[in-house]
Amino acid sequence: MATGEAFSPEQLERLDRALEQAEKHSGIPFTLRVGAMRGDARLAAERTLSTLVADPAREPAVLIVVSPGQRILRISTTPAARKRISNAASNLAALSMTSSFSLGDLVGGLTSGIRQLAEAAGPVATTPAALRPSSSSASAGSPARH
Amino acid sequence: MLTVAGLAMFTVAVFAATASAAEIGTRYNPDPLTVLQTWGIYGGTIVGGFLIAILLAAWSSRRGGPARYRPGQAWEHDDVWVGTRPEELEGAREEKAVPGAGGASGNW
Repeated sequence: MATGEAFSPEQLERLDRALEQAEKHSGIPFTLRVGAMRGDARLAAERTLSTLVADPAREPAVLIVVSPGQRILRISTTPAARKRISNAASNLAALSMTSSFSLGDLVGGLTSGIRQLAEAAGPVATTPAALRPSSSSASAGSPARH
Repeated sequence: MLTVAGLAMFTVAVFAATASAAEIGTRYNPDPLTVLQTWGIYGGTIVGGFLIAILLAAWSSRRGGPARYRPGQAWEHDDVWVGTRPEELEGAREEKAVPGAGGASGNW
């Protein structure tokens, strides 16, 4: 594959919109990184995940790391996010993503996988954390869509 | 779709021009076509159609943006972040292990 832009502006827009919708729906910040991984994928993803939130032990966050060259996918959830997105749900989303990736559809796989993760987390309004007044601003006023 | 449209535009124009020039003759008294005319109509149409298809394919692949990902090919692009990237966050945060973290892995 030639060097240059990995995704077209339209593809980036689709990914951005998928992450935004997932965050709006679940109240959990989602981050996606596409690029090469060094060392153990799980450890590397967790270390990156720890930098995305101030307190990884208490704040929910999800990081999706994809290395198309190495054909590796890793979904990492903080302990708080894990309470809402079980490892089984993450596995299902990973399976869905890798099925699309094997057909060459990176963007389609990512968008559907992100949607699956957000649906597994459930709407933000039904979670106890979201009902607290001190919950994150992303969840404020976001209506449940189920 | 573009290819079909291009082929249709080409063939309709060729047939219409030939018919309007009355080269084909009438139903009752068809004038015989010369070898050159025969090749021009039947060979030229096919060759011209292929040429148009090739040109359209080359044109659409040039303006198609990044090449489609194919499993097994090397990924020679810079890292792409969508969402919040760690460098954009306020304050330096140390990378550390997250006990109790979950998730899943996959390969393809």
